[in-house]
Amino acid sequence: MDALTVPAAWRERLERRGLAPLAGTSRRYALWIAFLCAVIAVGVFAYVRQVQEGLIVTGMRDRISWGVYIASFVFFIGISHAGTLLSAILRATKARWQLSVTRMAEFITVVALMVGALFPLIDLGRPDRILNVLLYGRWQSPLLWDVFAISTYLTGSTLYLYLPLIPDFALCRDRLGPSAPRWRRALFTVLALGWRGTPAQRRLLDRAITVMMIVIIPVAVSVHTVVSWIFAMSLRVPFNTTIFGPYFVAGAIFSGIAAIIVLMAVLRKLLHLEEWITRTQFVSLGYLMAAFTLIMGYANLNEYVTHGYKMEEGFVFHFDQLMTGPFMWPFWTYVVAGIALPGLLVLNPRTRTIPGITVAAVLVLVTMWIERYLIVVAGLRVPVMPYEPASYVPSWVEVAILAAAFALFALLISVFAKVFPVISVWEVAEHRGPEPGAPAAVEEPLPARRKILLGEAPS
Amino acid sequence: MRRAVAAAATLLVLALSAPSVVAAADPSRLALTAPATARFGETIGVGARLTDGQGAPISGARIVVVTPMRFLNGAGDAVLLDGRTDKDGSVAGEIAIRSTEPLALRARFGGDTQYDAAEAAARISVEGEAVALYEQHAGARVPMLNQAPGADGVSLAAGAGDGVLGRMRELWPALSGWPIAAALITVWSIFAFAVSLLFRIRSAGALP
Repeated sequence: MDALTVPAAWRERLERRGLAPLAGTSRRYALWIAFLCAVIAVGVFAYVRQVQEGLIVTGMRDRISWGVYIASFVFFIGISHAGTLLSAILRATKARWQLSVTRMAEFITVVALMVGALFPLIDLGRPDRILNVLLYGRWQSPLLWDVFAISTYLTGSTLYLYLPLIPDFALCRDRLGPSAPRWRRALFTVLALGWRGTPAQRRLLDRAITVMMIVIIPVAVSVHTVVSWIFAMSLRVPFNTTIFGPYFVAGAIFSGIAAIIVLMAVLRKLLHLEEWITRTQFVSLGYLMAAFTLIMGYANLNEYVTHGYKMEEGFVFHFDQLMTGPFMWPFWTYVVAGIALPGLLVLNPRTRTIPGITVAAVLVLVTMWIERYLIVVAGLRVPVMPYEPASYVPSWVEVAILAAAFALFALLISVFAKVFPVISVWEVAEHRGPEPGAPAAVEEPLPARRKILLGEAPS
Repeated sequence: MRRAVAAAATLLVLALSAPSVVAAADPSRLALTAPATARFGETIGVGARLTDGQGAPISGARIVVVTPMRFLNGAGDAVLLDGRTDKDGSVAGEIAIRSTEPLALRARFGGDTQYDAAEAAARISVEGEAVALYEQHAGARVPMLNQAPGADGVSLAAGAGDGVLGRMRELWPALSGWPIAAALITVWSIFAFAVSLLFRIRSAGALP
C-alpha cells in the first residue's frame, strides 16, 4: 500500500491530537474512573455473596436456569464483532473512510470478549470447577466448542489489535518527552518492537496484518455461530431453528456497528476528534446499520411467520408469550425501537445526522440486549414437561453484577483511551489523508506539563 | 294371587339379601430367577414363573418386577419388567446393570379372583468398577471423519486390526474430536506465523 503525501501541518495536528490524552489526566477523568470502580466494587461484593450462598441468590431456578448472565454473554460476544467487521472486512475491501475508527472497533472487540467471557464463569455455581471443562470436556459438546472459539477469537483479536498499533507505539516512544513516566516510555519502547518504519518492516507488518485480516473473519463468524449452537443444539422448542447461526452473526454485527457508533460519538466529543471522525464515518456506519435492520427484520419475519403459520405443539406457547403474553412489551420494543426506528432514523435525510445516527445506535444497543434476554429467558420459559411455566426476575445480585460488567467494559475502554492512541495515526496519515471539507481542529493550547510529555519545550 | 305375589317378593328379597358365596382363592407361587452376580454394565436376563399350588403354570397373569430406588428426598419402586405370563407361566426380560450397588429385585403377582397374590425376591451382586457406561453421540457419524475406522460395519482394508490403523482405532475415542482439533491447529498455526513476523519486524528494525 503506497503512503499518501499529506500536509505536514495536518499530520502534526493529527499526531498531537492523537497523543494528547496520553499526556495528562483531568479531574473529570479521575472522577469517571472512580465512579466506574465503585460500580465494579458493588458487583464484586454481589459476586462474593453469590459464591458464598450459591446461585440461590439469583433469580435462576431449575426451569429457567439461564438469565441475564447468559443473555449478557451473548450480547457482549455480539458486539465484539465490531472490530472484525470494520477492521477486517472493510480493510479487505480497501475502504478508507473507516481507518480513523478501526482502532476503537478493534479495542471494542477485545474488551467485549474479555467482559463477555466472564459471564459463563459468573453463571457457574461452582467456579472452582471451571477447569473441569478442559479436563473432562467432551468434543461433542457445543459448550466446549464455545470455549475454543472464544479463546481463539480473543487471541486473534488481541494480535490483530496489536499489529496496527506498532507504528503508533513507536510514535509514542519518540514523541513522549523525557519527563514522561519511565514506565510508560519503557512500555512503548518494548511494544514498538524497534519500529523505525523501514521498508522491510513495513512490508512485514503489511503481511502480518493481511494474514490476520483473512483469518480473523471466519474465526469471528464461527464464534457467534457456535454461541448460537449452544441454544440451537439443545432440545427446546423455541431454539429448534436452523436460522440461529446466521441470525446470531447478523445480530452480532448489527450490535457491533451500534457499539462503534456510540463509542465514536463519545470519544469524538471528549477527545476533540472532530477533524478525523466526521459525518462520513457516521453516515457510512449508519448505512451499514440500516442494512442490518433490514436483515434482522427479514430474519425475524421469516422466523415468526413460518413458526406462527405451523403452530406446532410447544411453539404456540412461545408465540403467545412473545406476541401478546408476558414478554409482549420487550418483544415489541425490540421490533419497533430496535429494528424499525433505527432504520428510519438513518434512512430519513433529516435525521441522518451525527446525533440522529447516534440515537439510532443507542436504540439498537439497548434493544439488542433485550433481544438476547428474550432468546434466553423466554425460550427457557416454554415448559418441556407438563408443568406450570416458571417466572424469572433477576435478583439484586444479578443486577449488580450486570452493572459491574458494563462498568468494567467502560473502564477498560477509558483506560485504553488514556494509555494508547484511539486513532490509528499512521494509517490515517499514510492511507487516508485529510478529508475534504472537514473542519480543522481548533488548536487548544496544551498545558505546560502536556507539552513536556509530548516532547515540546514549554513556552 | 296375593300369596303368589308375597312368595315371589319374599324370594326376591331373599335372593337380593343372601350373602354371596365366595370360593377361597387358590394359592399361587412365584419364582424369580436372576443371576447371583453380574458385571457392571452387563445386560442380564431375568425371569419369573407363576404356578398354582400344585405346580401347574398360570398363564396370562400380570407380573411386575421392581427395584427400590431413591432420588433426592424421594423413594419408590422402579419398574424393571412388566408383562403377562405365557402358557408356561413364565415372563422374561432383560435388565441393564447401571449401578455398582447390589440390585434388589422383587417380583409381584397381584392376585386375581382365582389365585392369591404372590411375591418373590432376588438379589444380584454387582462386580466391576463404576465407569461411564455410554457415550452420547451427537450429530452425524462420518466414517473416518468422526467415527473410528472399522466401527459400525465400516471395514478397512486388511490389517485394520493391527499396525498403524489398529493403533489409531485404539486411540479413536480421544481422536474423535480431530476435525475440531484440526481446525484449531490450522488457525493457531496462522496466529503463530503472524507472531513470527513480529520477531522479523524487530530484527528488520535493528540498527546496523
